[in-house]
Amino acid sequence: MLRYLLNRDKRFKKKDLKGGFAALFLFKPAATILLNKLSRQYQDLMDDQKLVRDCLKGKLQAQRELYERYSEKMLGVCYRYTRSMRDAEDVLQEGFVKVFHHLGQYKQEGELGAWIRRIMVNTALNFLKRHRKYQEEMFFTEEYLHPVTNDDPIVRIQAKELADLIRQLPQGYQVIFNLHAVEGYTHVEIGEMLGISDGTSRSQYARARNLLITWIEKHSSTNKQERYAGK
Amino acid sequence: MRENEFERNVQEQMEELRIRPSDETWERVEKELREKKKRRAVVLFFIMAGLLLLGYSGYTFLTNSSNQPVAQNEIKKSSTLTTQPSVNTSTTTTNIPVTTNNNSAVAETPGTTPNTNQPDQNRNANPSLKQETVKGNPISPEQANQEKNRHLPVIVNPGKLERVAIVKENAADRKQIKNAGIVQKENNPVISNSDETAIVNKPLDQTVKSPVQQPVEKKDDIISNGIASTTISNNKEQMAADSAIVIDSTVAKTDVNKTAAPATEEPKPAIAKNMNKSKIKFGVEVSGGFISSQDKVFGFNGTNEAKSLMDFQSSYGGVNTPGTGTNAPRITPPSPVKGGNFWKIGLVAEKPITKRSSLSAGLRYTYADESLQVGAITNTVVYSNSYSFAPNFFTASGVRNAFSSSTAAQSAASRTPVKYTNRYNFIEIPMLFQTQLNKGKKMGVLWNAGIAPGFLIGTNALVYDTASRGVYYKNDNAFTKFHFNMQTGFALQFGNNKKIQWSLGPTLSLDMSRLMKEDVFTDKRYFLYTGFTGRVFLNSRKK
Repeated sequence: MLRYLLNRDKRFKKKDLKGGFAALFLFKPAATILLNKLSRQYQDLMDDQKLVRDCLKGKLQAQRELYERYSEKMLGVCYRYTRSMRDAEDVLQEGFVKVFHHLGQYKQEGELGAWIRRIMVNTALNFLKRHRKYQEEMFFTEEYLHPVTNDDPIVRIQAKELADLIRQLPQGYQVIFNLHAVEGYTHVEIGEMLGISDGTSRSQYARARNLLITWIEKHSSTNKQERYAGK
Repeated sequence: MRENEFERNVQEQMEELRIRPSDETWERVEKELREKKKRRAVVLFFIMAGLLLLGYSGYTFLTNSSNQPVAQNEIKKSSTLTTQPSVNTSTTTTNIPVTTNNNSAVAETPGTTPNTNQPDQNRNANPSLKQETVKGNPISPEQANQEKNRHLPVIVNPGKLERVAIVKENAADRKQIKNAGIVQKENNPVISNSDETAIVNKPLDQTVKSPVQQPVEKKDDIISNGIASTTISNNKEQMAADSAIVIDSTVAKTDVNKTAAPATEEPKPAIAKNMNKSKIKFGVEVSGGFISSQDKVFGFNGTNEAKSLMDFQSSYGGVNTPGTGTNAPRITPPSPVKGGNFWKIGLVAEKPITKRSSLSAGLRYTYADESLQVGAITNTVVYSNSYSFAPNFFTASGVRNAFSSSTAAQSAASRTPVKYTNRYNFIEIPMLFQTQLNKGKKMGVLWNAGIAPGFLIGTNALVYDTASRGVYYKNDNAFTKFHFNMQTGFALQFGNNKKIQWSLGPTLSLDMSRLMKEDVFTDKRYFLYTGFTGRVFLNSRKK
């Protein structure tokens, strides 16, 4: 009886093991991918929270890590609003000082990256308002609304190239284009931020968009020819 | 749709945009962070210092007020006297009582070589000279009673004696003085103590005759008592407050941001905030409280009023000459000055500099008083030992001292000391930095600190002098005109969103300037104001 029981247990174990291995063998890739993805997201979230906590404690290493994690992306944001890399870095510096100074206000409900991005955008706007060389170009005159063309080009240019084209827009156009097309602000919100009417924002955006499309078309046509020639 | 497609493409492309910043950028960020930490540490330090200062001053103020009677008792104890027959060597005075301090444990040796008044003359001529030996003769119990009240001066003459008038003494008076043995020089007038004794003895005799009728405040009576022998004139002269993270609430609405948006940390529109910040508010400031004086700027321990009588006398002369039985005149030490009240009122303008801090400046009037007890008004012409002019003299409690006979002392004992109030009037320009310590909008906890340069526009305060064995007189020029105050305090602020904004809280102000230009016979004194300050501001518009 005892032997039976022991053997039964062994059989049981073998079966279980086989089934388990089979299951693992079948579902392992999918499960691994899913788990990895989830754990990465969770890990990022936890990392951000831990990083924020450490920064609030005044740990310089944590501040450096936070900076390293977001500085490249944020410089991309600052780069779109300014005319030179130097100015972009100035905005980045000022923005990060504000981030660290007001990190206590971040309530860890939303993404840290989005919170930092908002700070960068607003710092960039303040920077533009402060500097005369930008201010002179920030003319927001009321103009008639340009109809938006439907012949949108397929944006096939690289991010950096597109950013450079955006930076070549007149300052007022550049700001409004960035705020509306990239950041997603409505014209009413842009009007409030810049102290202009939403109509002005709309018209400026339309002009900026048309101008940019023309430039992209020119740029992409030369690239297309090169690419198609290559293909 | 196609429009949105363009925007979406742009957005996606821009999301991918990453540029590596130079290493310098982080270094600059790090540097700024360190500087901010330092600034924060400084602010924290000042807050803590302010708190400590406030707490400590409050403690010392309470302790001082409770210790005051004890100090007086100590003086009384130290001046407990023993009785011994007095010896008279003076030609003009007789039976001058001699004092021995039990604490000094120095017994007088009667019958030794009589000392003339010469040393006392020297002392008066140069008050800085100190007598090395301190000895005295025991005195009678009546005098002992007087000694107990020695630091309680008696009033004398509210009238103002002017030097010009002194010169215009009538010949008869001069004769009288000369007869009394006064050695008086026109250019550098110094009166020997014995001679003074002689001068004052005259009124003494009169006082002896009518001891009960000594109306302390009625100078007419005093004049009628014959003190007017050296009276010159009795002029009645009365003296009298960015870069706010423009994290606009308009949340950046990239797709990612939309998921992250709800945060309450979302900022409000920058433009509107900046407009509010630049507004200058005008208001009224009122404060009041207690004033005390201390012998060191940051002493916080009050003045050393409990100085022993003998120490004082040995410093400035006036103790009995050792072993001679000579009754050299004693100098009555200054009366302890009791702190009084103060109040300030003025206009103030406040300008916000950041979200929670502001700078304010204004103009205010400050009144402060303190009291001391003086003796009877004397009409005796006495020349100051420290100042070249002494228009008005009040004898300290030493009026009795000045009288040499025991009967005179008895009569003087019946006199009640008169409380005299020193009043000070200042005009000040307070300049303060103010910051809100909490984040609350309804009620703010504020801390402020700053300076308040001021000017003494007038005072009726008395100056102590060892002349004539201790006198008080008015002399505006003896007081420092320009004062520099350091001020700190806390306040609770209400009505931030209402038309009338007000705040109230404790304040501590320290006068860094000496009260008197030259403290010859008394300790240095610095004012310490402890009280409450209220401010009312009118907000130009409601939020």
